[in-house]
Amino acid sequence: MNQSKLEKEGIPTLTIATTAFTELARASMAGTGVPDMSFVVVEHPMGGISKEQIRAKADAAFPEILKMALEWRPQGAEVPPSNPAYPAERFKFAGTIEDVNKLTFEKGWSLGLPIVPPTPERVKAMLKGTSRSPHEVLWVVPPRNGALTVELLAVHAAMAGCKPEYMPLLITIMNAFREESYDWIGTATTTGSEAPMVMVNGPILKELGIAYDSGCLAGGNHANVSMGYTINLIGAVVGGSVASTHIDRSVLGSRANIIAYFFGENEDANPWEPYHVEKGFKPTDNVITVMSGDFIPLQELHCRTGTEVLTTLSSYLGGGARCFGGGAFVGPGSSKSYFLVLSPERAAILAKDGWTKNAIRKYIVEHAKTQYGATTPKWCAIPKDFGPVTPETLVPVFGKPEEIQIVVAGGPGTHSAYVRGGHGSIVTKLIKK
Amino acid sequence: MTEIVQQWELINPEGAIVLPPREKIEIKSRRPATLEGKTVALLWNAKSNGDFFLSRVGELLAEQVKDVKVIKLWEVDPATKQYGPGAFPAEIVKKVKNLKPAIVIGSQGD
Repeated sequence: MNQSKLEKEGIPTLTIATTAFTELARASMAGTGVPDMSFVVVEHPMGGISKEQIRAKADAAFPEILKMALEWRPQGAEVPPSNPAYPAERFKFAGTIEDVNKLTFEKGWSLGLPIVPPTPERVKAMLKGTSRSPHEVLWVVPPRNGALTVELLAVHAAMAGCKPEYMPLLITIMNAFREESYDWIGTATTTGSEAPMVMVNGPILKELGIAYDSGCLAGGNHANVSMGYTINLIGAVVGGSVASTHIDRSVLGSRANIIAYFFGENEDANPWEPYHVEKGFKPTDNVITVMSGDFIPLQELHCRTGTEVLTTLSSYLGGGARCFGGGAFVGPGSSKSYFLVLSPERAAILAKDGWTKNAIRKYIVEHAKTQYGATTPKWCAIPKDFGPVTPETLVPVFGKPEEIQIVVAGGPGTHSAYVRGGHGSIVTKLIKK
Repeated sequence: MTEIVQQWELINPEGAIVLPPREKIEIKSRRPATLEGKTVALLWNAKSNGDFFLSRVGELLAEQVKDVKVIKLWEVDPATKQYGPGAFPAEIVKKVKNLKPAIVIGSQGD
């Protein structure tokens, strides 16, 4: 929250929050080290209403704004002492397996799917998958700021049914999510439907049996599903981003907020170099790449040449970015990260016709366009040298070729996908065993 | 089928809350006694209609508070119109500080 940075510099602030976002605003504040801030709460919504309605809302709130500007004083309440992060609390419970699942759901410790009871024995077995110390804090997960120790990661991995050998990969994923540039709090609390995406490269794909071919985002694969579930359990339980407490403000959410997008690149079917090699890693390195985004299917059936494929995909991409407000010239606070996940068959057609990844990116930047009138004008900052625009003027959806990441995944068939980045940036990390 | 009631030992998966050290801002961030003759900065985070709301607040301040100076930060420096992890870096905070506002009124959320 920007206001907390000002408060730390001794500048008093007052924040207008709507009823739907008050809890999130306060949770965000707590995570910044500011003990208290002043809020004036107005009825939701702020967006999507007329100027007259906004004016009336401001008029009604103004006496309170003036009063709070002058009279509010920080409470500066002491933070209650917290339990130590390690070891995690143990407790006894009598009941059936069904009772355990009822308990965990009612306490907000699961997402509605069954969990495996996190017994000390199971967690101890999970910890055998890593040489890292169980007391090490991997990540303080916002907005709740729960301390994720290696032990607690093992707890969640056990609950999601993971195998111990997944631990090094899960630790690397947590290290990626905690990067400021990933913006976990943004993706976990946004009104959008974005969800964590993890792509895996390297020999570890086959070692762990991570799906990268047909249905790699679907069910039926233990590694993909259990690790995808672990990620969101941690986000909800340790990080506290759940809709029921008004912290996760996603309008609709996504099934990928339960089981995160988790897949491997189909390196065997990739006619170009794999993604991690393109990023400077060795083919034998095991690498994860994370981003927050939405998978949007790119369905096409009849293209025979590379140019036909790209023309069709560019048409999709021009439309797909509209609602996000301008694409190439999109304003601050918006991601400029995109993944084009090509099916092996479409990658093969493109490669056979001589298309390189760079040529594909360049083509898409030049051809994926949308009408200026379909963008959000305040977020679509047209550069001065672009020339005059009307609502019908076609503006590019992508700003630079390097914003588009090209990977190959999935099995036989023509359908590809586009992952539209939400908050934050792409983070790539080497998996260390 | 009757399920078996077991005695379980379980581990609480919530994790301890670790908040960053609370900063002592109570004294530094004392409220102004009056806004008369003072500068009030309005901070918009680019979300829909926040600018209209804040602009109306600015109008009302100008009408009702003697000699108040209202600054719409997004007009002075569009770089203040941000949210997200990289938003509001130190140089932006410094720019706002140099305007010597008695208070900054910001809008949050959608």
